[in-house]
Amino acid sequence: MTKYIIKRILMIIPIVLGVILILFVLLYFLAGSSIRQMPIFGGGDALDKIFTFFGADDNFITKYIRYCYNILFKLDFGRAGDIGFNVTRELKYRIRNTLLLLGSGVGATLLIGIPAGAYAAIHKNRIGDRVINLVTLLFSSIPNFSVAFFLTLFFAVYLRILPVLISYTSPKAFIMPALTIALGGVASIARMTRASMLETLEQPYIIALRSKGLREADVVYRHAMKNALVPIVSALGGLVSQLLLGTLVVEHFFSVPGLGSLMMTSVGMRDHNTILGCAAILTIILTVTNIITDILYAFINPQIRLLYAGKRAAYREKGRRNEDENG
Amino acid sequence: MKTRTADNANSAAGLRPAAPSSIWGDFLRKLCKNKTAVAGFIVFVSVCAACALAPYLTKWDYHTLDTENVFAPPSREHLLGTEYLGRDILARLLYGGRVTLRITLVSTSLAAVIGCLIGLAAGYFRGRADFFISHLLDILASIPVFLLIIVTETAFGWGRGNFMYAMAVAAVPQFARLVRASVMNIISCTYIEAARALGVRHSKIILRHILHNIAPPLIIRFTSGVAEALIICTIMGYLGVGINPPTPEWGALAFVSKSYMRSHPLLIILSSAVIAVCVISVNLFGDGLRDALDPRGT
Repeated sequence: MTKYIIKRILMIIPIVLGVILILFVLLYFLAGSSIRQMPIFGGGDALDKIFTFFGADDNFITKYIRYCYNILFKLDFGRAGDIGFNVTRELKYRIRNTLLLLGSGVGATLLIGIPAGAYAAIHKNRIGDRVINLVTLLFSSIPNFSVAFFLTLFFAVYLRILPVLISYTSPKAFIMPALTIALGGVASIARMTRASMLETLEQPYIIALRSKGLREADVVYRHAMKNALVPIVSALGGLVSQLLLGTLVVEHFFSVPGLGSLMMTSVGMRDHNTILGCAAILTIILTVTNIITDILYAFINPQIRLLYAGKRAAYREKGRRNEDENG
Repeated sequence: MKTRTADNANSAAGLRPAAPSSIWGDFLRKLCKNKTAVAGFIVFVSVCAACALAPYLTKWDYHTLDTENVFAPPSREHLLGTEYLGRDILARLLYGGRVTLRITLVSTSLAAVIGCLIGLAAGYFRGRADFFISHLLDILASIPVFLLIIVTETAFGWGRGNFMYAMAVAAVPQFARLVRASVMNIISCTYIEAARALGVRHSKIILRHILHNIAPPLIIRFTSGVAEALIICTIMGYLGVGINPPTPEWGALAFVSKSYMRSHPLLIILSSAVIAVCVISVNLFGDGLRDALDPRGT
């Protein structure tokens, strides 16, 4: 198990380096790119010695190596193109807001989506199921900015119970943004919960529990729910990447100082160093969540755990087959 | 093919042909029975048609300012009223739909074609190409779609064309992974083995057997891809990526009207409604397709 975890964690490095390479290539060869002004020598660190030893030129590859080195070992994202502010400090200040938004959004999605899906599964093909299906479909079909607009009109303008355009320090300020982000992702989670719940409720052990005379609530919430949630965990990674777009919109709509809004401003100002920094951070967030999800899944799902502990070859075969099936 | 020729022979001989038993005939019949799917299809096609016929449906164009008539309420002259620069809202919605729907449909089709080719190459021929392609796809898929679009837009310049290609590139990994996975499923079937043993050429196997069999999941993926692309396109338009004013785009329209949302909410409501109607109809049609194409026949 530890081996599996270590392997997954080590997988972060090539993925992040590859992603940064793609973004770096795209932004480096622009006319007037501010990334090209980055010096390849960083004031006497280990990489400097290596570069002088090999007599490195100032070119694309050395710049890429220097950039990755600075990010990984010094947490330094360079300076912004024209104004020259410190990108690292800006990112540090904004990452908190983005993570809070994203986290509360994912939390709200699960809090709304899982009960809704479970309710729909228990009341299959009845009115409740239809209504939940329709409402979640409706919310997933409206773009986030419209949801934000309607929520603002309803909660802030008519009811006047939630604040807008304040500094994002009190938890109350995060309710509407989180709700906006969540409503975009509820449909997929509710659908998935419903499907997996329906499948679980047909399993033989559920019939056994029922024939044993267990209360229906116990059967559903204590036994079926636990097993029905396993596929949801594996879908968390995809959910986070889906909700990141919502976070971007929400930051724009509610004027939250976050990574997305920083990136949009720097796109307007052609500040490529900041764009690259934001993009790298957002990708790292996504990759890390994906890998945490994988590890969580392995922890929860005894099938994977046992397979890995037992015959590693069998696990590999199974993993490959799963990968092929899931695409 | 064989059944059709047999049917023709029967009808030529004056016999009534048996009910057609092709997969696609079954599929169409099943699809037509599904009322919500048909309704979704009709709504989406009529929205597309309305946008395509915009010059015939409204006498206004989308960029002429009329500062005397700012925020006019709906009237006979302006069916849905005018916005903050006096431009006709209906005209802007219709012409905006042209932009949005064109970007959506073209980018998704491009992504489907490219993804299909890449997925076929990786899944059918395997080997080193598969190794590189699948790892590249893994890396591409771990970049959020909007990041890829924004960075590509920045790199290649802002404009509608580049925006379209950026959306296509961002959607390619999903198609390619799907095609690769389903090709690898099919390739292990015995009839492919038999065809290979008989010495059928690769191109013929791919065209006759594999493309035929990966079509159902690909079609389903295409409809959900269109729905996703619609949402992403409008959100990008809202954020101001790719679309420059005065080009109307449904998301960009919503962004402009956001400043006036308390006093004149009509435009943002209308543009949201139009986007929602399109996405819902595509989703309903996609659900119907899935039910009709599902071999388990739910």
